[in-house]
Amino acid sequence: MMVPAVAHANGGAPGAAEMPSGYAGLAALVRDCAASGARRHVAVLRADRLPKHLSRPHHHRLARAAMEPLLNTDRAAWHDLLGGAVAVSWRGDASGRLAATTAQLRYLLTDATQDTPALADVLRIFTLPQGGAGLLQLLSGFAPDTPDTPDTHKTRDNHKALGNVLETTSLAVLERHLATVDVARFARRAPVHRITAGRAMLAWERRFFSVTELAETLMPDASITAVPWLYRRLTRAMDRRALALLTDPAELASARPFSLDLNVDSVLSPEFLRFDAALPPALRGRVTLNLAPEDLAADVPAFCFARDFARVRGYRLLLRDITHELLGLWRLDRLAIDLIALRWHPALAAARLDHVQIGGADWVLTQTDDPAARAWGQAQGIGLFTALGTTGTA
Amino acid sequence: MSRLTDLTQRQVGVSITGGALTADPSALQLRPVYAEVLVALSVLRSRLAAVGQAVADPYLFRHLAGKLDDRMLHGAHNAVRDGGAPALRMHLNLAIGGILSPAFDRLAAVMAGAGAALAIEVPLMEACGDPAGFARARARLVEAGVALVLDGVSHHALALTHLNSLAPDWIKLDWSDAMMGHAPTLEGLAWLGVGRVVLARAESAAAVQWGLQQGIALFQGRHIDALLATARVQACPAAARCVVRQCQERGYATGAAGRAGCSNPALLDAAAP
Repeated sequence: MMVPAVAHANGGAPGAAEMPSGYAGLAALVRDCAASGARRHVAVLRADRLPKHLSRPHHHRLARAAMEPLLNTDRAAWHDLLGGAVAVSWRGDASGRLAATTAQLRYLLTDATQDTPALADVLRIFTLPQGGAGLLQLLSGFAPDTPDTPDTHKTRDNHKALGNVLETTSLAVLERHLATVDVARFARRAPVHRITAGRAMLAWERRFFSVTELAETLMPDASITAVPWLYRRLTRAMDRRALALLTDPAELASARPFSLDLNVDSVLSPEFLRFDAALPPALRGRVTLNLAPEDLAADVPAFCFARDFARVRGYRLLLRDITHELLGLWRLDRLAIDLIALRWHPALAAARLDHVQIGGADWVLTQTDDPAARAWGQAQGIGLFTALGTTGTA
Repeated sequence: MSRLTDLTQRQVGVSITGGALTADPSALQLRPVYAEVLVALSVLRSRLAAVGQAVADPYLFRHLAGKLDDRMLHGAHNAVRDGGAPALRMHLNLAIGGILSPAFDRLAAVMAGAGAALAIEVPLMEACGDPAGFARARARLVEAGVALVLDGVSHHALALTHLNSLAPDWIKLDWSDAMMGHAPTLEGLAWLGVGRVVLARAESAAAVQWGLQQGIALFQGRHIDALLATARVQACPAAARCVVRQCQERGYATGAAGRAGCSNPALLDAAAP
């Protein structure tokens, strides 16, 4: 899959074969959309609005990384602006990606101990052509003194590193590096709640690595998620390290029920067997393995074998990352799994789940940053939700 | 195809009528319907040691395939621009990023200008890995008037999916001996409707017979290639020194080098007399 690198010169404006990026590109996009009536969206990250104690270089990198999900949209273009501000423009609906971006930024802002800015101060969204005037007004504070030509792209040059993406050669290096680095500091937990009669109770914790921080440490000059299939391959190495980390008795002794994203291969790996051997009896039956639908599509027998292999050892199986587009594809009642993680998207608002056959499985609604998501989920009888502000699968 | 000829192969898909109740291959009537242009993995392997590892790993393979999209699109574009419309509908394997690229727009435009038909094959795994991207790619294909073929569908996946929800024009179901007497496969086929199914990797007479018995009319695979080559050798006036195997291998070639020795390339292009 050819996801564009971060810095793209083509703004994708209607009728424009080659569009400059940066201030000039955005200004031209506003003009073209006004002239043609074409609809575009622009998200502007105002890094200059971050409070001082959140303005160190790694904070800026985290904030910029939060914008990256938006690059997986149609006609996406990245625009570097003066003062560390950036903008991403795109065409079409990207509410799911935008939810991921806002969740990551909100997570970053929660680290602010004082002068906490509102998310709306840091991230502004415009829809063109209607919002063109507002965008231009905002951009006036970022206009360069000279026209934005390739010679004046110093800001972009400064962030050239972000234009780098994971490649097969760097993947091999990264996999070797990942095998030796102390990954404990990247380990994170996010709660999954069961909501009953208006009360939320912890059902389990999802355990995962902070990919952003891991990338910042291991490969600060490149985006490791910008090339999806290589990133998926990298997750195998991450699986091995996660399993090794969890095999530590100290890690498991006081652990609450948890879930773990794993590749199918990883369920059948020696690391998994060691983890299984170390699992305390109290946790047996209370650990959930989250498997991906693309693994299912790639090799159904392997998926089923891993599922059965894990089930006889007492693990619960969850099919993660089911989007509204995939909801009608899989015959979920035939998959013999325990949980199905449905990723919230506004397109689901008009959908009903009561006619979706899922056998004896339970739904988990994820990416529930939007309050409408919880309302919809509860109306559909869903009882399990990822916590507000978390973007994980389950 | 210029600059890509030595890296690509083509394989013809056919519609078959007759012969459902007989083992006599001469009773089958084959009509070439499309020619799939695909990367020749054997050639890639010989050039790049890392390809062997990539082919064995589905994630690396998808990445590699995506990297080749741009060259594939340019090669196809130049071939049609310089050589006119191909004799058969062209099938190309592309990743989602390739469909959403400007190079695809250029190919679709030159194909439309030449009055030629185009279909794009996307693996089921790719559709599941990026469902939003797949939806955008499908919309782009509809907009360009290009057909969508869902590729890489095993009978296991067939039994667990409602593939119609992805709105493909055709679905390539990979043949396996295990499909014979496999009730979930038959149920999946009935749900899907055999009219849109291509039985792919049809490597044996048994595969073709099974497909015909299920009502499938479209086939692709090495057994089909052998049947087409047999028909060509029998009909070709210049085939005195040719054997079926030679003709079959030349039929895979997309460039002059792979067709060396053939005095009737027009018949190779047409795939069948």
